[in-house]
Amino acid sequence: MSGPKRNLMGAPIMGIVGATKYYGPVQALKAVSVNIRRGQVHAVVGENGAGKSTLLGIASGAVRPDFAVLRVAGKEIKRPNARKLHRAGVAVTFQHPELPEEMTVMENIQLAAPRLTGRGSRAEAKRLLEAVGSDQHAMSLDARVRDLTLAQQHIIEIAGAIASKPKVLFLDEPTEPFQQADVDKLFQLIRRLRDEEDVAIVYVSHRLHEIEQLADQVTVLRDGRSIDSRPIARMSTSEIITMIAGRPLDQVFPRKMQSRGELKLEVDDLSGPGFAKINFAAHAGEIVGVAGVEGEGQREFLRTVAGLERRKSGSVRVKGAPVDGTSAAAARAAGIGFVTDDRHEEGLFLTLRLRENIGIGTLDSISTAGVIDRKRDQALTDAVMERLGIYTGNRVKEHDDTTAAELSGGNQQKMLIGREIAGGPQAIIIDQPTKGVDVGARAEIYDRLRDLADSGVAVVVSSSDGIELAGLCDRVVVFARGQIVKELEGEALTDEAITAANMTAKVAREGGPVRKETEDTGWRRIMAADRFPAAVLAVLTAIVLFGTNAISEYFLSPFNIETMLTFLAILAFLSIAQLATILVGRIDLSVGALAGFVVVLASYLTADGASAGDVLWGSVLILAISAGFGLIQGWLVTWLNIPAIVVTLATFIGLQGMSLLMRPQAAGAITDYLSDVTQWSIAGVPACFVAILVIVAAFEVILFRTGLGRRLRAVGSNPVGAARVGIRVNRQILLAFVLSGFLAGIAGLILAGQVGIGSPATGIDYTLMSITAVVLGGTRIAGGRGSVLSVLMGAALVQALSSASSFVNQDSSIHLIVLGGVTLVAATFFSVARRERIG
Amino acid sequence: MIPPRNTIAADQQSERRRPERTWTKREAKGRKKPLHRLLIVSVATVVLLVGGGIAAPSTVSISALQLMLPFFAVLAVASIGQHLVIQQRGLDLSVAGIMSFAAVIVSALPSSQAGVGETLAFVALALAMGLGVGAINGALVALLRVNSLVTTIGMNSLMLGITMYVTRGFSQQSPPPLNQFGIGKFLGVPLTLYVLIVIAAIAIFILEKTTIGRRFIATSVNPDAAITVGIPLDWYRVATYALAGFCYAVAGVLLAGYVLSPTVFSGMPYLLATVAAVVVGGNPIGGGLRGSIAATIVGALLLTYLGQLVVAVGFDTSAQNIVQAIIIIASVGIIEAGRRIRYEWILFKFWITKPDVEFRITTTFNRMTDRLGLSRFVTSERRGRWGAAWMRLKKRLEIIE
Repeated sequence: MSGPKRNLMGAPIMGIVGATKYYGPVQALKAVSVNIRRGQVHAVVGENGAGKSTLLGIASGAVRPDFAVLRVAGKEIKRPNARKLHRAGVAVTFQHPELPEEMTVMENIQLAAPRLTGRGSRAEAKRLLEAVGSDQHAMSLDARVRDLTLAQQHIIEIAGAIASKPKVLFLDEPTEPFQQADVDKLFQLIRRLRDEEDVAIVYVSHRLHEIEQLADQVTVLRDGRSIDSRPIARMSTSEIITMIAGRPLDQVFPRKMQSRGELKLEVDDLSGPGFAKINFAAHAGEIVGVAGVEGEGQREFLRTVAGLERRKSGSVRVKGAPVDGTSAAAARAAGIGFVTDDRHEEGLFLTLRLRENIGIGTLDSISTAGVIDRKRDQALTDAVMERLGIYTGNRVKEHDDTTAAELSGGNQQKMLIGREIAGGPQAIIIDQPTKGVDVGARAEIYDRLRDLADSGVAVVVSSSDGIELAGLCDRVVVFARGQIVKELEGEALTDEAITAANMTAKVAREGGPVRKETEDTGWRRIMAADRFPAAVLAVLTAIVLFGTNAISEYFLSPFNIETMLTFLAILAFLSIAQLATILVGRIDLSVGALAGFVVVLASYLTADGASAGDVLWGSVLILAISAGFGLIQGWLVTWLNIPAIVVTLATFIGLQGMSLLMRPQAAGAITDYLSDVTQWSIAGVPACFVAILVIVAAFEVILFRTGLGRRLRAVGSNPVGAARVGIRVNRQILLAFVLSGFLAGIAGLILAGQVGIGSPATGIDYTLMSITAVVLGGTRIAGGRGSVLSVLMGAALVQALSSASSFVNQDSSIHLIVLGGVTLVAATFFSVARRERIG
Repeated sequence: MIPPRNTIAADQQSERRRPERTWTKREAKGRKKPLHRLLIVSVATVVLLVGGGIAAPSTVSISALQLMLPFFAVLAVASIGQHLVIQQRGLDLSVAGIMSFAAVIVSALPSSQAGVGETLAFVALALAMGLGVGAINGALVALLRVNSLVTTIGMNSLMLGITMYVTRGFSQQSPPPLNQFGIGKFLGVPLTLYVLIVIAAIAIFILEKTTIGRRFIATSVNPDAAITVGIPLDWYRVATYALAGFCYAVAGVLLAGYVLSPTVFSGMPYLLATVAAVVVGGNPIGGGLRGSIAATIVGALLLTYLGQLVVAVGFDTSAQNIVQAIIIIASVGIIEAGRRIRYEWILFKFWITKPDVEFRITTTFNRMTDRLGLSRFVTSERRGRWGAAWMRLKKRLEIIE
């Protein structure tokens, strides 16, 4: 144990009092209080599920506590959220970074530390990144985060947190993806921050040796309670371990294997993502443990065996019969059961009944010719619940109505294991069997696993908890660098041995961690650039224009060009409006209908014969109404949490109804002032086209060079990550919708000038055209990425196609076909070119 | 702020190994299951029918209902398709295109005096078209990972364009056999309604009773977990869009039969209406929960009747659009608004029972009574009564265990 550090009684900077949090019936935190002082490293330790992450979530504002009083620098923070805490000087890095992946490294750092703009900021960011990570993680400031490794993302997150000059810095398992060199470097940095800048650092970890090196004060959490908090000088290692574990260990685990049975699962030379050339075997009757620090390839290995990741080479055999490695279905059919470590995301169907959750893995056994037999279904569920001891409290008889979400973590885990057992597997793979399971249920799960092994199934268990593996397993293989580096058995199998194997493996680790597959060739990189589509679209537009001109020489007459430019201005405004909402990950189907509604409004508010002043005020009023309409839509989307598609589809139809109600037939001439303004030209170029160029340039600068643009894109790219760095997500979305409404209002006014009469049916086509333009511009439909310039060129192509098709063919059928076709082709192209994930 | 030092002694350990507890009464009450969505939408429909019957008695006459039912059947069949896509976390905007084109295939393509055989052939063609176009949608969305909204909105435009191109913008009459079917009745009930009943029955049976349905629901509730248990998610998605396209085509054919000469854009009104029917039925947008096809069908009935009612009480037809828009937003928004209000209420409960609030109120009260010279009226006994009332309030609010 290292001696007492200086400044043991630093000034208190942050206090968390009585933090309490329930997740359903599970109480994750029970009145935990922590006092954090300046110039100290305050370690928070505990097992998985002890409440560390919840506490951290509350301190960062990401988790809303059921009760907690937070005080930073003497001020109580009421109704804490990420923004308030961020402003108060609390910076948090998480175990799993949530960075807006579509943005660059520099932009991500700027999001966390908005002060880093202007001269010298790039150099400072570079310096920070180098201070956090070693050379092998060096990265360009302009690299996109989605192309980086997990370790690099951690480095960005830590660098961003430090760049924001925090008073309190929370680090959650910061060393997890790092190698020894990085760890040393990070520790050096943490010490410097503590000693020189007087920062309070809260270090959350389950690695004792790190805490011994760093901490001044230790708080131990167990089962959601704060067990003790003392200066590290007054705590011995064994004391800490006893407090963390809180139980005599030998009582919890069942007896070990009695006899090893036949060979069930064989893996030969298996290679896949993050591991290579693994040979592995599991026999009937034994429980085999797979150990390793997070990210050493063991999880990928197990998932590959279960058919969930694609294998590169090698074979898997169950009782000698080879298993086709292409799908989970094949692995299951061969008799490999798999229980995921992420129950909620990947395991359970939370809102479905227990019966449906359990039966889903073995539907064929409970059905006849595809029709489910209710009796067999129920019998299966009853058998599984009986065998695994799943309680649903006082409602055992009524468990038909109970959904998976109502069970506690332990019962949920038992249910997942039961689902796999029901299929009668030869081997079962369980990743983190007791993650988020409370102590009582843990012992039961261990007992069931032993029973299962005794019944002749090969059980493979992966865990980050060495004590668990030592107590439960008959044999443990230790993973490092995607290789099995050690195999422990019998007397040699102890917690210390596993930890030692992990540690020594870590020293030996030379090559980089699991790298993201970056097979981006130069061509792909060019295609991925934001403004690349603009160039291609310009060429295509020119081809369409001159091609049509070759067919009909009147096409490029000055008059026609001027008309096309005016209509391009309308479409450009609407496309930018659409882009604004798509950038924040939403969509606005109502833009076209709103422009049409503005035409109707214009026939009242700026009627023919009105004075110039009246027209001006009328226009201002119309723009205010449009922006207000956008505000209402944004409010419905954010505050009431209605999907934007639903809101804007409804308003799209509703606005058409309003237009028809106000002007059942086209009537009410619109003043010439509007068209005069738009047709006013400078040396043959329409003024509104000049205006659109100016506006595009302005928006492009805002989008790429200002904090506002960064925030908008961050919200679209990763709302969770954006909220973590204190961005008010809802406000950005609201802003996008207001902007969308306002721009649609401008487009509507220009349109009104062109139409000249209050017609109820204009503008509707523009919704699709604006979406087409946005898609053509290479915008990411899921949000976070796009370029105003590219979208303008997309609008130009759409307008050229539209004008050309109406020039060639009078009715609008060709127009619609071309628009639809271009949308589909462009969307497919970008999706394939950028390898989008389904979402 | 001294953390509690409650290091638990080793002999107390065994006590902690109790079986896991389940929900306490309070917790169970806090998460009371919502009323079944089918019940809610049914009650709403009955209320609307009764209210509408009082406001405009003509709308609930037998003849009016018989005129309305075929429209209801068309909307309901199309909504079943939309329901499936929404359950798969998408939204299908190609309803209008596929319906219009299907209607045109069976009305504009056959000769005006086509017999039963020829008519059936074209009906089959229309249905195959719906299935095929839906499958293309599905392939783009599921296999090529194109955004579902962009795919279907593009496809919608493509199909509308083709429809216009085929008809040159003129509507034509459906062949006599189809029209006879469209306006035909059996036992006083329009034949189109039987089509709906058959399709709905098949859909509900498959979803509720078969392995395919179980897997479909699983993919809808949690796609990642579905992949983990070996369900071929992508192919389920393709099939979903294909079947949805088929439903729209059936709806288009029924519409062509009933209205005799469908216009080129006859499917247009169904774009929003199908989404509205699903949403009014209380089905979640974006998956996560099991949906109810029956609720969607009742939702379609509600919307169809509402449309009739709006016109019957003297509004313009365009008002239907506005009413639909309001209803769709309200029915989604009301759930979230309720949740919001409940959340604020919980915050209020915590606020009102916070010790310092109690202290503030008591001291303010005491100081005020002192200043006003009323303290002699507020005896300690009465203060005690205030305190008791305060405790009762806290108990009522269930903050104190």
